[in-house]
Amino acid sequence: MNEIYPVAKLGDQILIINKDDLAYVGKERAFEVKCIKVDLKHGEIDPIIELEKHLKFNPWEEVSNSERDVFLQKLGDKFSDQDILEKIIEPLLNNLVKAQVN
Amino acid sequence: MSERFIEDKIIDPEVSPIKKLARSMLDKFRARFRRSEKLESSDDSSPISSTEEADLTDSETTDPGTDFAPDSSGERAATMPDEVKIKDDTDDDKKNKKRPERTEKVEYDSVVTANYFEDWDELELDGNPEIKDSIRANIIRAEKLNEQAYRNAAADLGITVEEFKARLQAKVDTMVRQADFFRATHVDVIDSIMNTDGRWKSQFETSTSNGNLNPNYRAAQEIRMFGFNQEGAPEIGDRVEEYAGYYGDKKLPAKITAQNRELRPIYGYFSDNEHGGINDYGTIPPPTNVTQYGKVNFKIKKERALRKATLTFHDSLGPGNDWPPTPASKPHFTSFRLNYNGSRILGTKNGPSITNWGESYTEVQYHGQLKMDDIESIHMSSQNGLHKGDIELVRIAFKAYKKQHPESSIKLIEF
Repeated sequence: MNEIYPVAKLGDQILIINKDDLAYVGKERAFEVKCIKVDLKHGEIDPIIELEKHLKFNPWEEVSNSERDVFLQKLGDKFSDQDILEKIIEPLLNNLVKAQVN
Repeated sequence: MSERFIEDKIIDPEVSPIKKLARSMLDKFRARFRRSEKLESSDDSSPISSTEEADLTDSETTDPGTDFAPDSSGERAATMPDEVKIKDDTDDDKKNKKRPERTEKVEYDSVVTANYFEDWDELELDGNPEIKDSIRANIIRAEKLNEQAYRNAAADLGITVEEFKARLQAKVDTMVRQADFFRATHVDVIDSIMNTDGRWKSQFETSTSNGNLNPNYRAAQEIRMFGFNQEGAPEIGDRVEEYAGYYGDKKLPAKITAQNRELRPIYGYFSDNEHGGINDYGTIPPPTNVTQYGKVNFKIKKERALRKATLTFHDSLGPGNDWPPTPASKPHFTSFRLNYNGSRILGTKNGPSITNWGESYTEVQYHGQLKMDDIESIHMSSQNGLHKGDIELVRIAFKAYKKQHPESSIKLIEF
């Protein structure tokens, strides 16, 4: 089920998690769920960080299913494969909640 | 060598399993979302066009905070740890052991803490009615839980534990006394904060019905730290994360996340840099360690902050966090998380703008709402990662605010 999954939005910024970690958001192992903030307006990708930290500091809104596809399309338009792979997909895969169990 | 991408860098095909999986994720992503030549060149445009915005109206946003009812449970006392000993331990007292009403009945682990609590009852702190009792219980609990860390640090320095605690308390007092209090804010929400809402909102107010952004973890932490909406919650013990889960009968009742949403703590930080710098240098540039949470720094009027803020010298939400928030006007040494070389903090730089004790930032929790009226000045700079266009947006929002509030003394400081 590994997929990049925009989970929250704030203006032109989105928080992306690996869909495999969705089941852990807000629950017992919530603090292990990592995310990457992407600024779609300025084309910036932040380093990976705990999702709960972002949710604690700001009024993020949940992304609906139709919005999710729009954001993914914008992500694909704005960033190169290299950026998506190395700055988003790989860090999220390396920090999966499940991965930390093994 | 085969070329996998038409991008600027060729990827070596001999890769680890993670890299293989990452590539397959990218391929799957690209199969659905191909890169558009037209949009590739669009530089600073908004990611969502007006036509697309129309498509996004199915967002399931709920009405924020209309169900607020003032908490009438002011008489409820915070849960006290079992280790706390109450003097005059009669049978009746034993029954009420977890709900002591007065500070002086508790036996403390150190003279420092006993002195600290001498004038506790006079302390004024905004927030939910349970906040002071919760903080007091947490301090007592944390000092006991972390006794070994204090012993180790004292042994490193060749001093008694009591002496170490006294010195740490003095250090903490000094660091907070010289600090200002800030809130890092994203440009995207500045206009609504300044010109519509007049206050900061938390994610509890913007959650939607899908429930993907489950707030149970934060709600459980805020019960534990402040007793916020604690009525009806399971007792929060050492492992707060258990109570955030969907497991067994420990699930938090829905009303705990639904009620008083607009009164939830708002999070910020403290620093002794005039513009809110907080990093390895204590200045801007380089950008602060909190730019992920916002690049514009709002400085809170100090007298307001001292009344409505609690703080820690680290991120407060980590699991198993036994170093609790304490009032900004009366910080306690247990708010300082000691790492393996914790004793060194006594000999290092004093200012909270340089977080050189193993943390990336200090943290402030503002209670009883953080409003524009609490703000002294707004600090922004391109050297803190802000783009020119964003700086202009803040200027416009500020101008509109001053037009609405000509009496306001808030300053916009560009540096």
